[in-house]
Amino acid sequence: MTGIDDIRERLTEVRPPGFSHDVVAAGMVGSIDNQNGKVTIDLEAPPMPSNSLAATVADIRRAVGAMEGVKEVNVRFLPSAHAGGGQRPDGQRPDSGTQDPGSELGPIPGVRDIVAVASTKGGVGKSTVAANLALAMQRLHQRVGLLDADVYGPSLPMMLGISGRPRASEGKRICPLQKYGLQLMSLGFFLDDNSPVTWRGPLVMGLVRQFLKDVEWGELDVLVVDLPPGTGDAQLTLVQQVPLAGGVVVTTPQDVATLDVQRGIAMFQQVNTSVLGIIENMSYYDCPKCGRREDLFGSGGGEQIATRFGVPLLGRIPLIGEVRASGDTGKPIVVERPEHPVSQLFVHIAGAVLEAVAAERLATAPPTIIGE
Amino acid sequence: MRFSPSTIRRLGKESVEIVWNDGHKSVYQNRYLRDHCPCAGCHQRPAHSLPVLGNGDLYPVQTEVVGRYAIGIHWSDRHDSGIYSYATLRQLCPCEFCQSGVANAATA
Repeated sequence: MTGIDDIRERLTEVRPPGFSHDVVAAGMVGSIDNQNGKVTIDLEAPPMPSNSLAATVADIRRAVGAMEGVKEVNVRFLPSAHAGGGQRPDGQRPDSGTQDPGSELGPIPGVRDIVAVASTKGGVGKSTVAANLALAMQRLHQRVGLLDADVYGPSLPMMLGISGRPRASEGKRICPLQKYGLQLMSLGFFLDDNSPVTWRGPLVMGLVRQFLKDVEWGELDVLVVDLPPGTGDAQLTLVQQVPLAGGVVVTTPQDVATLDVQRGIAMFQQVNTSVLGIIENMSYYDCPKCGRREDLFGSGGGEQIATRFGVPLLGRIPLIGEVRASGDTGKPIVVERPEHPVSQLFVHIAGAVLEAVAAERLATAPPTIIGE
Repeated sequence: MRFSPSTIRRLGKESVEIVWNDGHKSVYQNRYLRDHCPCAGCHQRPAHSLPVLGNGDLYPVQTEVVGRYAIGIHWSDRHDSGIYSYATLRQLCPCEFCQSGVANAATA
């Protein structure tokens, strides 16, 4: 049986890229646990580029995984005092003192991580995915908010079966609505059903800014932002107003061969934001009568894009009636049928997204600004 | 590698110093930085800073982080629309090594 000390000893062979010390000597390794070959290692990493961090984790898995009797290696990230992207443990903003207190830029107080769900093309089921992803994260014990930033076609009210006007709090801030335990905000709450939103850019930018900064989000682990399709004002405002933990790009198999998804990935890369992964929606159809699998929109596209851009393919969601129907009735499949394979798939994807967010949080710290 | 600054230091009325995550240090004279303002207005018609401002009068009064990719600088001549992305700032680094083009070839 491999002992904890043997594992620690083995970890001295792992050195993060660019570091002069191994992970043990650098004080990155917390507690180690071995339950019948299932090894869990707690890692507290200093800020480093995400690819270096990923390489380090891969090296750890490989080194420990090769040891006798080890069946499984899990690496958990401990919250680090250096971690950026959100509140520090001491509640200080990293650049407090030099940043104008009235400045609107910077993280949202109380919100740990912000994840954007984007698609460069409409109709790929982005809002369905965003709603189910948010609910799946909640099943993983996260406090989750969902912001419908799809200004031109807000669909969150229908998808979650919720209506009503948000109230203003005493501080003249907007109180989000709640459903299924999520904190929710959508332009749809303020509109009559049939009124179209014919807005110019500056209005869209103002709305996104307000939804981020003037809403009483409270304490959240994750705020999922459902973006409108494309790469326009709403997207730009989001990435300028707040530091994003990362973006998730939703696509269907046939689109991935086109330029659309590449644009979405390039948009995030331009603003230094990691693409946490790609979700392929309407991926395939299993015929309920004969059981045959049909690739209605082709296949393998998500994998191709994932390989080409070095971005993980988080999951392939099948085209099934239940997903659509549950959205139309205001009860997303993750709530209505939690045991359904697709619901479990969403939970799996949510887990992968949260893991990537944690790694990203450790890898990137905002710069310290020092004024004279 | 994605370059991002670890510290941004405003050195009074002289210059701005950035230490990058790879350890490289860039020092930008205020006027140089102001004259390379990437905002749409300056980009189209390079009016640059007001010529009446002497070197000591042109300096950043406020610096703020924009998302995860840039900083915004509010200048003493009231100009504040420039968003300097980290990539742009790294390219603007006036040091001999960066300007020689060797650095770009090495990181390409």
